[in-house]
Amino acid sequence: MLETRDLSVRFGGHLAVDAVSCRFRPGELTAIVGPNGAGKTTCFNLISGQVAPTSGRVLLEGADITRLSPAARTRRGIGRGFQQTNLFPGLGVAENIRLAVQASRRKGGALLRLAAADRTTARATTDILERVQMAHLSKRLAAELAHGDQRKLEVAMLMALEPNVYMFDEPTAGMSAEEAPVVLSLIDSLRRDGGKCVLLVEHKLDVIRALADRIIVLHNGRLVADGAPARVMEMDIVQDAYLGQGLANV
Amino acid sequence: MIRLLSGDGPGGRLVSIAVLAIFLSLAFAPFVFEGTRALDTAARICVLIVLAASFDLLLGYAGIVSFAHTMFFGLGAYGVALSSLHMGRGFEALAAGTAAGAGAAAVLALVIGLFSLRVRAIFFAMITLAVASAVAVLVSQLSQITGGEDGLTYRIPRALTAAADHGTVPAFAIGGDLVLGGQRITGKIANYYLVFGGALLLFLLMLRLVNSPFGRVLQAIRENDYRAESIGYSVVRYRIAISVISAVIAALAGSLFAIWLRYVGPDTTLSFELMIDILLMVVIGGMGTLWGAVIGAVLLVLAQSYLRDVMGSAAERMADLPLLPQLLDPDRWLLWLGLLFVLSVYFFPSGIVGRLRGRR
Ligand SMILES: Nc1ncnc2c1ncn2[C@@H]1O[C@H](COP(=O)(O)OP(=O)(O)OP(=O)(O)O)[C@@H](O)[C@H]1O
Ligand SMILES: [Mg+2]
Repeated sequence: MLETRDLSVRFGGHLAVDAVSCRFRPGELTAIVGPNGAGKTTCFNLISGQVAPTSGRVLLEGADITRLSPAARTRRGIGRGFQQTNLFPGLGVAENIRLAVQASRRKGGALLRLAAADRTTARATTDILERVQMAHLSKRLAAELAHGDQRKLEVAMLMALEPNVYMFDEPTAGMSAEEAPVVLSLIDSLRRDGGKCVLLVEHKLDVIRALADRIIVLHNGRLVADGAPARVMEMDIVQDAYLGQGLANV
Repeated sequence: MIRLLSGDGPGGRLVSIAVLAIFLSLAFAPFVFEGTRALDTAARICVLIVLAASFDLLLGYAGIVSFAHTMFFGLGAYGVALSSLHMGRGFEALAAGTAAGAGAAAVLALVIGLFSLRVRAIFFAMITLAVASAVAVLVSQLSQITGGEDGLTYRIPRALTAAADHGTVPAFAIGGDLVLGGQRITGKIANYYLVFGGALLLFLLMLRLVNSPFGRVLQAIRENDYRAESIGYSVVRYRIAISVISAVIAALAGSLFAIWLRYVGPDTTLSFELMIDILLMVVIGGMGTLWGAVIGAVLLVLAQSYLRDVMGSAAERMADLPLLPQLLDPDRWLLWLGLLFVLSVYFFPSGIVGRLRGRR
């Protein structure tokens, strides 16, 4: 189980995340919503370790991981996807995924083996390429992909890590209407079949309705609502803070 | 063969042909080329290929800029020199000096890495510059130990010197005319093969390294260190590891060079010019591929050894023409080398190998 306690971060004078306390359980998909600049991505950065909090703690299975590096947190099972495209641009699509598989299997330290000779890693890579329907693109450079495919590769790399906690930051933004459902059903199956803990930052209300077991609303860095989708959507504060911002028209 | 090259061939027809030609020329250098100068050039090429390739491990594969590479090269060279002076002439001295040089390089690289790579990769460049300058000053100041600016000359095992005779190459003759072989194998030639064999081994080792899971992580870090960290690779550890490995290989190359030259001095091993040379070799040949280091090292060493001669004879031939003889004066060779460099970077931004390979 993942937990944040009074997590805050201040950038200069601006309190981007303000005392957020929250628990995330296995098998549960939590949608994190809020207007632009609410602190959703920053909250992710605090949990996965890219940004150090000004105060507060992050706990995983009861252990304090607040001081661990991003790499160490990933090795403990926190997988983080990014809102901004964040790939290895000069490497191939398959190699991007292979590197993530290799990381999750802790094989990066081998100096004198040949990476290409590692059959099990290769098989896992092909498997993921097929699941995200990108097998035909495997040899292309990540930088050459269309934006939608880059977003898909982003998701594929997260899948390749096989973490216990999946953090998706607007995974389908920029994807076409045909591409998005592929990714969304993959995300759905993680929680349904895998019993994984899934955190999903998402703007699209139909997606949230279809997938979320629970909704968290952030506004100006504060956690202003937390509960079952039906209940949270009704709340005044959500109507004002979130839907009132014109984001409901999606 | 493919296995020996770790499945990472030169790639591209022209590069493969060039690499094969280089390999054959170096492998048979003592019997193909005449004179000690040619053999000396060949040995220099062997050593510099290793030095440039080990620098490419940092620059081209891991995206780390270091100015201390010649310092590690020097550590290996001075290790052999000092042990040969103090332990007396012998193979034990060579082995001990090589091991000591490599060990010192590893420790120093580790310390520098721990201090600077934890902060930021660019900090590493500055620290290496400072440490390398300090060591260069130290070496010229501590002249009782290091021989100062004059450097050190020492004796290597007799079996590796020109005086030794290791028999002759079996001769093939057709109708009484010597076709092939027949040369005396001097210790100098044995020494050359020690350098050649050592360089070949180190090169194949590096080729394996860059195609290992570890090598792939380095490339990932070069491409996007932020993401490499976030998928679970501790970037700092990988950077420190490669800087240590690269330093050790540079030191080993330095030891080979010292065994060949029987002399070490600040100019030949520690100088800033040499640092620039290896940078040029890597950039001209093509960063991020070890084959680029091979092509770059060969081109640069040949240019340095023979460009002056070529220019000299060209100037003589054009003595009657205006201006050209002055431009081609052998003393202006550096100018031409600089021009060649600028042109090659302009036309081949991905290096010669990158250009010839095209897009794979
Ligand atoms: N590294 C940083 N330095 C300074 N300010 C930052 C930094 N990261 C985020 N911020 C600020 O923190 C606030 C929250 O940003 P954040 O990216 O977390 O919002 P978000 O909820 O993800 O928004 P969006 O829906 O647009 O992705 C913004 O005002 C942003 O400008
Ligand atoms: Mg965001």
